[in-house]
Amino acid sequence: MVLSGPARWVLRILAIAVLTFVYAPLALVLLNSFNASATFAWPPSGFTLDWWSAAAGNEGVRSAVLLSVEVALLATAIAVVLGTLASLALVRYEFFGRDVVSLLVLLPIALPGIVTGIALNTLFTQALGGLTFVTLVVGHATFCIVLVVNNASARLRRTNATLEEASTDLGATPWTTWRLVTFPALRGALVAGALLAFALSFDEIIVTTFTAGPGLQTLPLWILQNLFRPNQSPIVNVAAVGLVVISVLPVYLAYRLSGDSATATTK
Amino acid sequence: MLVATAAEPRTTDTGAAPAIALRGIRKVFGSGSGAVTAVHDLDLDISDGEFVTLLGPSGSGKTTVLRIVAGFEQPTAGRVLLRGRDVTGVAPFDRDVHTVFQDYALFPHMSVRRNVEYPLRIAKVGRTERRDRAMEALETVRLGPMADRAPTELSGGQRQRVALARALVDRPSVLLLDEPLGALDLKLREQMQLELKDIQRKSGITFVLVTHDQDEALTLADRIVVFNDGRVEQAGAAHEVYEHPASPFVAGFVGTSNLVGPEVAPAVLGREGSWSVRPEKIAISEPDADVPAGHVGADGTVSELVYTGPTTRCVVALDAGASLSVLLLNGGQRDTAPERGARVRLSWHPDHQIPLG
Repeated sequence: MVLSGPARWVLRILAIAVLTFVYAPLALVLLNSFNASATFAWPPSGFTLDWWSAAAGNEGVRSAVLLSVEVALLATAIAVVLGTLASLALVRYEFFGRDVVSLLVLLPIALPGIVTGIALNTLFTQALGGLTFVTLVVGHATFCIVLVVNNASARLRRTNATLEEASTDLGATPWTTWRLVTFPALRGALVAGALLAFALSFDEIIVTTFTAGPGLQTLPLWILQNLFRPNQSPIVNVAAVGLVVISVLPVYLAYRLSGDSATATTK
Repeated sequence: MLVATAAEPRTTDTGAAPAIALRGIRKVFGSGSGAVTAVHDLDLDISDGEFVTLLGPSGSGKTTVLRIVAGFEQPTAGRVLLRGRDVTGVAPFDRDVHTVFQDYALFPHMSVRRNVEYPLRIAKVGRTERRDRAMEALETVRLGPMADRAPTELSGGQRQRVALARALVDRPSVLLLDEPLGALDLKLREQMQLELKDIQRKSGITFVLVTHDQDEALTLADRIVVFNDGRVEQAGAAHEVYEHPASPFVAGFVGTSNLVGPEVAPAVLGREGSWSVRPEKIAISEPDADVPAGHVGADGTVSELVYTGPTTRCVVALDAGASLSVLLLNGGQRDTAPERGARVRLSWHPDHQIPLG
């Protein structure tokens, strides 16, 4: 498509404006986490690592990070196991109601978090005896599984099913076939799905609010709670930067992984 | 490996059960009003060491039969016996049968050698032995130097040969081949056909090859089984199927058929019914030439000439109706070939008239 000169300039300015609008606040948070002025006076009065060491020494931040990592790891583990089994069933087998099951598995990512949160909260508090660490993990697993299923299903669809037939034909049992043929083909997609699930779980706040047991504070919950306490704000900045890094890095890695493996399998 | 063990006779007992016996095989896909019967009550015996091709158009049920023998599909009714052992309901990995798939199905994350080692690895053959046997199998298909390549680095013909080596390395009693040469270009296909025949002869393994290509079926097989619409139309040696087709379908599907329909047969052949005459059985001559004694003659006009190199196909519109193809060998007397629009006289021996019922 050929655009006229003025149109190109308008689009350029719009693009820059949008990107600035999205990323300038993030950059500001990052800069302020090193800003020597506790009130974040602009321009920054100097460079300091005080806030970072303060955050590292802050008991609340430390336990929040630890909890977030634990929850994300466990939710991801559950999602990888169940998600892999679900995608094998959905892609490799035909059964009654397959499309419905497929939709139901994928729905949690589309449902508003607040709906999932309230629904799970009701279930957990009224039928299953209250909120705990386990309910938090299970709550996160409901949407983490979607990312694993999506990634694994896409890879399975691209992987020739006759490879599995060939393996069986050459004498391998279904388990050996999984170990030697299907899993190696799926590995990259599972890692990518797991990284995305981890990232999603790590910065999730809505479902977390409704499913976390008493006294359990994930990093996003801690940030929310301390956001408007002026004396905590330097540490909140640091926590936010940490959150961004821990969430964005897996997404970037997953993107690289699925990109690489996509070219490897279509080569 | 393949060649080394070829000397040992595989048919130790001539009275032994056939390599494959299919008894009353029926396969229905779907259910209710959407049910499609892919195979109708099929009985078929394939002897040990035989090279059989299943020939038919797509959708004729030949691939379904192959998949039932391999164990990928369960027959709706009937039994599958391999050397007398009833394997109906037995999983593919418990059958002494290997398959060469149409798309080769090489494992992309393994090197060529690891691919060929795969069945040995499953059978828990020791590392050194399986490496040696894989290399030997690769040598037989002339791919020794490619052992450490990835399958994706090979050409179609090479992948085909890797798939063959992988399926033969642990010497199954039966090898099933599902349109194995379909993706290759003509030259390579002809070369691979000769190699396949050679490997089959040397190894003595029973080969069952599915194809829709009649030339391939005729070239390769000891016996051709012609499928149509889920049924066997005819099973027999290549020349039987070609020279004495058992049905109009076989006559039409195997080779070029010149149909003389019931409305013109009395005028042309002096007989009722439908008939076919193979193009190469018809002699073409000047319009005033004598028809040899005992032969059938018919006059007509050349309506089309198709030059294909070694032969020229000459289509003659008979005065009595019908149109017959005549195959002329381009043996150096190009001048004698008629021209379009020329009057000619055709003749053939009545023995070559194939009744089509």
